[in-house]
Amino acid sequence: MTTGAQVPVPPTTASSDWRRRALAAVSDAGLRSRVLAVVLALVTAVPVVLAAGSDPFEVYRAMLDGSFGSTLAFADVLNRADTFILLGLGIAISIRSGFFNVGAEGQLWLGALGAAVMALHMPGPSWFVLVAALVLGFVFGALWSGLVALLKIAFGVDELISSLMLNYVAILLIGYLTFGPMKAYRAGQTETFEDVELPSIFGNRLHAGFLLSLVAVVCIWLLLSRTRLGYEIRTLGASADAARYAGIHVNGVVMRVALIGGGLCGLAGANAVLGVQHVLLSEFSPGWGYTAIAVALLGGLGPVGVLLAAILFAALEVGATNMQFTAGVPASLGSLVEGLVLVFFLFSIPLTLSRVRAFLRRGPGSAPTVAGETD
Amino acid sequence: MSEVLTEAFLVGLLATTMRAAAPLILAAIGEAFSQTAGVINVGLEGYLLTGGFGAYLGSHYLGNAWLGAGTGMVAGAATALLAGYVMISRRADQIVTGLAIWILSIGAVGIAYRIIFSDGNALQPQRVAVDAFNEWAVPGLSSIPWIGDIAFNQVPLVYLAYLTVPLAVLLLRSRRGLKVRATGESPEALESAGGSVLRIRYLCVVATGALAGLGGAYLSIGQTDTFEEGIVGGRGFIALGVAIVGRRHPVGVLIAALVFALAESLQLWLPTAGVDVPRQLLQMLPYVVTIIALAGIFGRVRHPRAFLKPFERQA
Repeated sequence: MTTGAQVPVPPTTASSDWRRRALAAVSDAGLRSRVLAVVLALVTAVPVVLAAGSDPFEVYRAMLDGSFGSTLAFADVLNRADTFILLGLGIAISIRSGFFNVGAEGQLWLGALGAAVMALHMPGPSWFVLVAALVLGFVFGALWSGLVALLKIAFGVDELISSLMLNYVAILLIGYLTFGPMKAYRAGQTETFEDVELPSIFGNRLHAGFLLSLVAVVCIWLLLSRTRLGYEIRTLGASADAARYAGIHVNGVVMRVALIGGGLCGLAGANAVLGVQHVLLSEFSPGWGYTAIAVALLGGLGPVGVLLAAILFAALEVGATNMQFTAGVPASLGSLVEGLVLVFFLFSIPLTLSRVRAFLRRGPGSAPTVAGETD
Repeated sequence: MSEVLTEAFLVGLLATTMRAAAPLILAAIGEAFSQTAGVINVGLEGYLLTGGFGAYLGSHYLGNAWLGAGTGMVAGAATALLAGYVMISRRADQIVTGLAIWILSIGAVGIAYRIIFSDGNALQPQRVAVDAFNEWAVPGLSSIPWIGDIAFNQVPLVYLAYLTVPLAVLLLRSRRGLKVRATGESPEALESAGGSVLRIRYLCVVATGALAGLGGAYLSIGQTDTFEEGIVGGRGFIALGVAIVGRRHPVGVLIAALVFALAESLQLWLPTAGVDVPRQLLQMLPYVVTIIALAGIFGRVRHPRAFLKPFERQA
C-alpha cells in the first residue's frame, strides 16, 4: 500500500491509537481470562452474600433456578438477552472501527421512541405497523448516533463526551414527551400499544425479538468478515494511519459505522417496547446501554462472543431479580457481579498485552502497518 | 419578562446556583488535575455515589456530619484507588475501566444500602434521617444585602467547594503543578528528571476520588439528611464535561460549573416566576451547552499529549 519514502509519515495521534490497541487486546484476550473473570466475580461476591445473612450456595442456586431453571425463566433471560445482543453488536462494530461510542443508551431510548411513535400513530394492518415501528426505531437510533459522528467529523468533538451528553438529552426528551405531548391517562407514559407486538414464539413469553437478534448476529458476522466495509472497519480499528494509507475514506467509514451501530441500538429499543413493555415509559431503561458496553467487551467485540456474553449478563440480571424473591438478597447483586466481571476481565487483559507492548516499545517512527500485514 | 426579575426570584435563583455548583466543582476540580496528568476518570459518577453513600453511612454510625464527610472522602478515594490501579498499574483502557467502576459502584452501593437499611425486607430499604449539615451564615458577610443571601448563607461544604478553587490555582502554579503538567505532556522527560509518573497519576486520581467523595457527601448529607440510590443523577458525567470545557483550569472549572448549575437552577425557579417551560427541556440545557462548547464555539480544547495513554517505565 505504501509507496515508500516519498510519503511523509504523519505524527500518530498517540492517545487514540493507544485506545485502539488496548481495545484490540480486549478482542484478543482468550476465553480463559473471560471465564476466570466470571468465576472471580462470583467468588468475590460471596462475602457480600454472607454479610446479607444468606447462604451463598442457596443464593447462587436461586439465581441459577431463576434464570435457567424453568422454561418461563429462560424465556425471560432470552427476552433480556436480545436487548443486550443488539446493543452489544452496535457497540462492538463502533468500537471495532475505533469510534468509541458510549451513546448506546441514548440510541436505545430514541429507538424506543421511534417504535412507539409508529405503533401509536401509524394506520394499517398490525404486521405492517410492527415492521414500520422496527424500521423507525432503527432510523431514530441511527440518526442519534449519526449526530455524534457528524459532530466528530465536522467539529472535532470527541465522541466520548458528546455521546454521553446526548444520552441525557435523549432520556430527557422522552421524559418531556411522556409527561407532555405523548402523555396518556397517567403522566410518565404513553398509551399502551398491545395490538402492535412482536409475536411470541414457542408459545410462551419468548418473543420474536430474539430471532431478530440472532439474524443481526449473522448479519454483523457477514459484514465484518465478508464485505469491503468490514475490511475497512478492521483496518481503521487497527490504526487510523494504516487506514489512510490503504486509501480508505476514514470519515465515510466512521459515518457508516455510526449509522449501522446506532441503528442496531435503536432496534434494541424498538424491540424492548414492542416485545416486552408495549408502552413507552419515562423510565424505559435502567441503563442497559451502559451494561451492553460490558457485554460487547466481554464478548471480545465479535458477534458470537457478544451473543454469549449477552446471555450471561441477561441470566445474571433476571436470575438476580428472581433470586431476590426466593432468597431475599437484593437484586443489586446482579449489577455488583456484572461490574466485578468487567473489572476482573480488565485486570487480566494486560497479561495478554505483551504483544502490544512490544509493538509500542519499537517507538514512534516505526512505519504504520496495515492490519494483517505484520503486527 | 420584567415582572419575572424580582429580587426574591433573582436571589433565590443565584443562591440555588451557588449550591448546585458545589458538587460539580468538587468533582471537576480534581478531575481537571487528573486529566492534565493524562488520566480521565469516567468513573467519577461512581466516586460521587460511593462518596455520598459513605458519608451517609459514616454520619449514621458516627452520629456526626463532619465525620460523615470524612468517611465520604475515604469512600470516594478508595473507589478511585481501585480505578487507578486498573488504569495506571494494569494499564487497562481508561474509558472502559471508568464504566466498569461506575457499574460496580451502582451494584456495591445498591446492595450495601439495601442490606444495611432493609429492616428485614430487602426490597424496601428504610429511609433513615442522619446528622446532616446545617446552613452556616458567615458572620458579617451574610448581612450584606443580596450577596449575603446568595453566597454566605450556605452549608459549610459549599464554602469548602469554592475554597478549593484558589487552592487549586496555587497548586497548579507551584512546582508540583508543573510536575502534573509534565506527567501529561511528556512523561518520559519527567521520569528522566527523577520524577515518578505513576506516583503523580495515583495522587491525582485518588485526590479526584476524595474530592468527588466530598461532593457526594454534599449530595447526601449536605443538601438532605438521607440517601437514595439516584442522588448523583449524572453529575459525575457533567463534571467530566465541566473539567474539559473549563480547559482543565480551576477558574475555567468554576465558570463552567456555575453555568451548568444556573441551567439546573432555572428549571427549579422559572415555574415559581410563572414561566411555563417544560422542566425536561430546561434540564437539557447543560448537556447541549457542553456539546456546543466542545464543538469549538469557545475555541478548541487541546488534550495533553499523553492523554488516555498508560505509562510504562522503560526497562
